Amino acid sequence: MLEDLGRRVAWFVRLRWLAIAGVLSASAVARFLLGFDFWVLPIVLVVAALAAANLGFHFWRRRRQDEPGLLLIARVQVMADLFALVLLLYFSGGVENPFSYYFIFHTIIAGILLPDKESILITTVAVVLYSGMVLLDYFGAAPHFPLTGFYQDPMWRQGSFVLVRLFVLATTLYIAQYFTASIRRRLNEKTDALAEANRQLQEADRNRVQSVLQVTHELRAPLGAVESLLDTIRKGYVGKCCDQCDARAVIERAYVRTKNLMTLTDDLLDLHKMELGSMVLHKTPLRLDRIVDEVVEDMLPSAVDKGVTISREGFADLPMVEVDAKSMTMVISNLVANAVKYNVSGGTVMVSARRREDGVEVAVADTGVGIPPAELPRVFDVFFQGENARKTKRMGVGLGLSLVKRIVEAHGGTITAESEPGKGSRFVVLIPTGNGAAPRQSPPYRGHDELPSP
Amino acid sequence: MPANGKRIMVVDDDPDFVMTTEAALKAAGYEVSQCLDATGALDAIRKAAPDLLILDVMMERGAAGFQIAQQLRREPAFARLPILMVTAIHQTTKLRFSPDTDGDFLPVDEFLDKPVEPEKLVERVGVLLAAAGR
Repeated sequence: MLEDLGRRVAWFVRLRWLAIAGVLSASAVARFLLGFDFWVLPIVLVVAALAAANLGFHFWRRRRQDEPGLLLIARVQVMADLFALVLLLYFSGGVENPFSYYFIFHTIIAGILLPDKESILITTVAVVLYSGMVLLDYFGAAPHFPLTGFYQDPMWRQGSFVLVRLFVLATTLYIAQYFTASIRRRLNEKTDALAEANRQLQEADRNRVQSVLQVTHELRAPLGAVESLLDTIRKGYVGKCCDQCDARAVIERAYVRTKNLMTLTDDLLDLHKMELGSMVLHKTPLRLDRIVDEVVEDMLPSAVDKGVTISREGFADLPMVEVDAKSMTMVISNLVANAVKYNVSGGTVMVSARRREDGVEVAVADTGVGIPPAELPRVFDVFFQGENARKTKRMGVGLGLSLVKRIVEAHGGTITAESEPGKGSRFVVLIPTGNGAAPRQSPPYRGHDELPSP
Repeated sequence: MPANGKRIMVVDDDPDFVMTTEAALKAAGYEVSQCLDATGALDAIRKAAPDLLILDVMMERGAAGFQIAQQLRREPAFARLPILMVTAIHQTTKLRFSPDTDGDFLPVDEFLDKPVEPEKLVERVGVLLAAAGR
């Protein structure tokens, strides 16, 4: 912004040199080619004064690069120009001189350079100075400097001519000021919006780079473990130590890590496909109780291991919803798996459903460790792992809930989390029924990708 | 392999790393104990009083390894205990922890990147033990 102002001030200094040359050549043309008669000497003196002032602006501008300084220079420049033009007009016919319309340039320049109120003020100063000069002339309060040869009869004493001149000039200037200022305002708004969009893009890009680093780290850690495990066998360290590290146990561990790595890459792929909208959702009308039944059955062994009971309620007569069965299974199973994983022995997981006006709500509540309030807003963030999640290391890397949220949102639904540390957490998914609201279009078909089974 | 009987403790929450490290060290004749839990690590170290400690940074838990190393250095019994720190964070954060430049901050004797080659680990353990005169 400051740089911009500095450039504009410099530009106007350059323009003024052109204007000075213009005044001199226009005077020469009027005097010698067109044969008008007027006093050249005062014109030359005014031009010389303006040139001297412009030289001053040139050096002043170089010394003041701060915003108040540049604005001051801009104001002084505009005022100098106004006075110069009024004097030039006065010495060459006053109201008869048609160059009075050049005041429009000052108005436009003020409209570009200065705040609204100030540019209105400058326009008013131009109108007042010009009117004052014309009226002094008209009433004979100042000597008249004639422009002989332009009008057949001297017009500067004709009241109607003077009035019309003043009126047309004043309205022209105010309208020009208004247009310039509104265009500048709109340009400024656009510039601000662009700057903001650019800032957001840069931030998104930084986040993306960070996320790539994190993914790389998450991929590298298990790979490193597998490498070490294989190295132990390859170099014959196995069997020389203890019963714990026989070859079979080492291979088993390497296998488990590889399998986890595979799950991680699958999740990453799904996540990014979701993000691009290239994951195909085959939506069919079905009742969520079928999915919940399947998930609960799958989870039962691990729940029993942990001493956790899973129960259901409210699934009796739910309306059909349009969902992709595979990805919705992934959502429910992720939520139920978490509810079991972060539960305590003897705890319960309650999967409940409820018909709502705008859809079907499925809630998964547990009696587990809960989520600290500070972590709650971030649980759906990619790679976010809370303190409790980190304690159960190697069971995940913080992708599950991000994926769940994206799937739910791809169905036009919402997911929320609430929790009380030490008492449990509750995740609520809302899937719109679609008969009230317009059904959401599934993302465009872009390939043959299908959701892997969870 | 010399059965030198020096006692080495491995503290890492990655059981696979502990297993491979233990295999390599035991094959080299060391006596190895382990601790998989950052929270109980300090007590376990004090109790076992090893000749050398292999310690993971455990970045996932707020760099618990750093805190363990710093605490140990404050205790007279462990002020001179050789500590070999292992980490997998170099590649992603470009942070280079070195005992030469970060000596005050991180009072450990050596850093190794994960995954650590067994021979390299055994060699460094030998060097550190010799330097400590143990």
